[in-house]
Amino acid sequence: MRLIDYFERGLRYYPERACLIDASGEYSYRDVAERSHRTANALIASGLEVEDSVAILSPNGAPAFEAWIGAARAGGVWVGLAALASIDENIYVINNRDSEWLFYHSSFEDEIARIKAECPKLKHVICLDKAGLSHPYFLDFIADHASSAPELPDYRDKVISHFTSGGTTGQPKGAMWSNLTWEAWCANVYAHMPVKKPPVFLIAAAMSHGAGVFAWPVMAYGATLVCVARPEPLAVLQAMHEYRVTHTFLPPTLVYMMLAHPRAREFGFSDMDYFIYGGAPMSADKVKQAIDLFGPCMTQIYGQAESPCTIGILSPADHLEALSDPAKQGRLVSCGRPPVFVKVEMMDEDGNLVAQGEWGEIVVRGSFVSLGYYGDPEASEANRAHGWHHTGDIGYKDEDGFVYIVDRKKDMIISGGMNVFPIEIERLIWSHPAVQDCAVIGVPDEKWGEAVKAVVELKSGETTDEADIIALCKGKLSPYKAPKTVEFWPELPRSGVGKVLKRKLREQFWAGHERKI
Amino acid sequence: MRLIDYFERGLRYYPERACLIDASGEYSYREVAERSHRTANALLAGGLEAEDTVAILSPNCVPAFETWIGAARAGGAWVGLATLASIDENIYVINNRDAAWLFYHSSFEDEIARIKADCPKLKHVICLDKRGFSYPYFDDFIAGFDAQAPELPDSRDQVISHFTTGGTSGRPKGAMWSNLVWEAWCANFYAQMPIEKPPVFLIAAAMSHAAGAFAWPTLAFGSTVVCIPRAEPLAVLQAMHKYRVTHTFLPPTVIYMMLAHPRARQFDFSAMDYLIYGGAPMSADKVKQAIDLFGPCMAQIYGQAECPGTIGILSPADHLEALSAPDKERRLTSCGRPPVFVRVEMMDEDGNLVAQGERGEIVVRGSLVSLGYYGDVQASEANRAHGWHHTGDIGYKDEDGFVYIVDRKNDMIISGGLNVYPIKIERLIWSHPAVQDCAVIGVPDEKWGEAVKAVVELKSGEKTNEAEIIAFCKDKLSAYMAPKTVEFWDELPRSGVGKVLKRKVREQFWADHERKI
Repeated sequence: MRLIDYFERGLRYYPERACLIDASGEYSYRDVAERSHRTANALIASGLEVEDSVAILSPNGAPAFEAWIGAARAGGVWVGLAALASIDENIYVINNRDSEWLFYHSSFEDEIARIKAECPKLKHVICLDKAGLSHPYFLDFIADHASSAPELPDYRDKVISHFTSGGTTGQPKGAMWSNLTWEAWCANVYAHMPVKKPPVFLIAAAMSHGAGVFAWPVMAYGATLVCVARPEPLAVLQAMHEYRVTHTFLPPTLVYMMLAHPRAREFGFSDMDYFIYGGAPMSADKVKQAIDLFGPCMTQIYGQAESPCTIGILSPADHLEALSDPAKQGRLVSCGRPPVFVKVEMMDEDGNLVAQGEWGEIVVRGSFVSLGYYGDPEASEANRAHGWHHTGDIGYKDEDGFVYIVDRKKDMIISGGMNVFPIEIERLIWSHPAVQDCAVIGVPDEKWGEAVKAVVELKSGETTDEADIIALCKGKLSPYKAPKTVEFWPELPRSGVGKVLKRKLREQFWAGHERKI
Repeated sequence: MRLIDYFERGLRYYPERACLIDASGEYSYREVAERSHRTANALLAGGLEAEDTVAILSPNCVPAFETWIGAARAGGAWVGLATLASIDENIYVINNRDAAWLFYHSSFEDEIARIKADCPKLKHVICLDKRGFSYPYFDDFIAGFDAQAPELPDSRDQVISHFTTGGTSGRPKGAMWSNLVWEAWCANFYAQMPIEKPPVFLIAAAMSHAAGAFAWPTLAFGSTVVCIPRAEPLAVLQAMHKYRVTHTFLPPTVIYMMLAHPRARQFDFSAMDYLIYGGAPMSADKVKQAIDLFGPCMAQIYGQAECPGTIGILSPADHLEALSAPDKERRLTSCGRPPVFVRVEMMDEDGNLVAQGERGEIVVRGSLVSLGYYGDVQASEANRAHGWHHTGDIGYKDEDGFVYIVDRKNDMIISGGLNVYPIKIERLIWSHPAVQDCAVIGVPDEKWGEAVKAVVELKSGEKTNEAEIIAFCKDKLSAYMAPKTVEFWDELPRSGVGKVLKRKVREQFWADHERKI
């Protein structure tokens, strides 16, 4: 199976059904197919070869998804840029992935000249949604091309997506997904979230990340993909009601905001089959509220760019079972059990699998493990020791096979569903003239899951304040990476060799919390 | 995923559930696991290396399935011998697959000396079910071995089964299934037949063929696999009732006999989720009767050894939809639609895909396509022309995507779910002193789907009769291959170059039948 075949199956059986909906209108599978052929032909005519990368910088919208479908048809590798990331970060990604094509949304018109200047490999820049801006309009780019693109071979092991990941250093790496990676991921979805009726999938969280990926398996069953630009709680609630949504994917923080919204009960959610959340568990109390509002559709997914997206799944039935019995309620803080095509074990530092109940690094096997990081064989190899893919998460399994994440092997913070790498922020704070040293950690937060916190040690005799540090960060980083709070300590806890002990720091803020993420 | 991992998942979550049941007793996942580790260790100690073949000659029973699990754990390639085939044919298969191990059931004790003598590569012969026979008893073979076998790597492309097929020449070939072939087959199974409750799978049709292959995906969900020695209608009905069977696989002929059984309505089938049939469609009338008796669980599968299980599936919902509207009823004569991980097209003789509605050879793509035939590179290559797997079946798709088989490219007959190759029977009949020429074909038959018929042209002045030809065949062939009827024609229809035109012969018997198989 090629990635395009999921779309093709939807087209084959449901040609007149709406495939994509956004504020601009509604587009049938037949319409989208036709444009995707033209897009593929335009890409091929402009020099695209199989496995060349095509970057897309856009909030959620039909043209951004169409560009993805068109690139897949041409055998191009999709690179979804994070609309919330800084321009510097996206420039890094475009350059690192050797992208020669960039499709951008008009909301990035002000930045596009700089991106073009700093990405010398970019040859073709196309504006997704408007004519008359600084670069050609998507529809003009494809206008003269035929609506039947050449049929590609069944490239099982060809790379078809570079999913943006962090990896160890905090630089956003590209996890290479082959067609087989997609196939295994979709197989897990179908086995554990069987499609019950023609799906309506709401893309509200970033299309460039989990929400976009989840849309593909349901397209094979003729799903209608509804795009709202961003996950604003009321807009999500309204879209769920208006389009009779069956599937969506959102971070817990947003689910909480929806539950708390005063108008939440004005809407109907009776079509919901799978309300998928990930990145963090939900509390038992919130799960109860969510089931009460949305029905028995809550589904937690644990995954990562390197092994999409189903290392663990806590199914709707698992949620109900956990709530039915106080002895099982603890399962709600797990990340579920491995799906059928995935093996999950815990490994010690020496490469031995540990016994059930013991802590270890979570390691996985299965065809869904990505092929490695684009252009970084060293980091790829590091994740593959002892014949297993290493997640970098520390966890354990209970006797029923539920997997619990207890800490991260590395120090990544997940705030509001976005990955934050402390080293990036620490480097910036270190550049402040008053700062001797600092450590950035995640601390528990009702709204964000984890909030970014900087703990700072000042140089002797120097002064600064919280607002100053936050302003420094906001000026140079994507806003979600800037610390929410800053504390000043006379001295950071250090090891014998002088290394800051983040674990000790975190203990100050995580006392009384089972899951240290 | 390795084949053993399906079993391992069942073991992980349901260790105390019954895994295997037959007349001898009931065995939990934990017990079966323990014995499978000992079996694997015994095989490894006997010199087995990955991909070495292990042949099993047995009616359906627990130890036969246990040896399969044990061989899979050791990385051995399973070869299921057909108990209904002649000893000569099985000797051919054992030799052709280079099998050094043979597990046989005591009912073959009389033939085992001859098999051993005619299969010089056989090194280890083990009696599955009884002590004191001419070869060591299974339990004794594994007794001294440890209950923990070494963990094998996750070798995606390792061959783990040789599924017995015929191919074009009529000799039973071994279609090589890798771990990935199994993964794709199971992925299709789960996507199209989602498992909603712990399955109970009844193996009544031959375990060495589809019924055995179907049992594996359900093991991952903790299924209980119930074995009865053969698909005798009353025994099947009784087992379905007694064990609250959820899944089974049977040829239509057996289902017809079950429907006609006077005691059919005395049993309870309310647990049935999927009554899977294959090899031929069922008439609308019989489908109605079956749904009336068994519930809305009828699922037709179209597959072949080279593309396991699911080139097409007519789901329970498809059956209901077909019966709901007169213009859809003909879908019951189709073999369903391709499952999600399979692409199916029709191809002309020049390698071009033909338009919807046109007839062509049914060609397939997907990870489910087997790696080729063991030891027969030429036949393997012949099936792979133009980047697609060639099924050898001629068919077409209707506008809703349902696939209809209208004829076979080759002349294989399917009688009672078993493949019959005319050339083998023809060669025998040609050896009869009175026979000038003959053509063996399948003719429509209420009970068998197709019945084997010989049309014979006698030498001038010679005489024989139907009973004599049938007796002549029964003496030398497996009983199911012997013609059910023989006709004598003055002259067989021939092409310009003197080749017998089987199509013309068949037309005499298939007039008024849509599907010429």
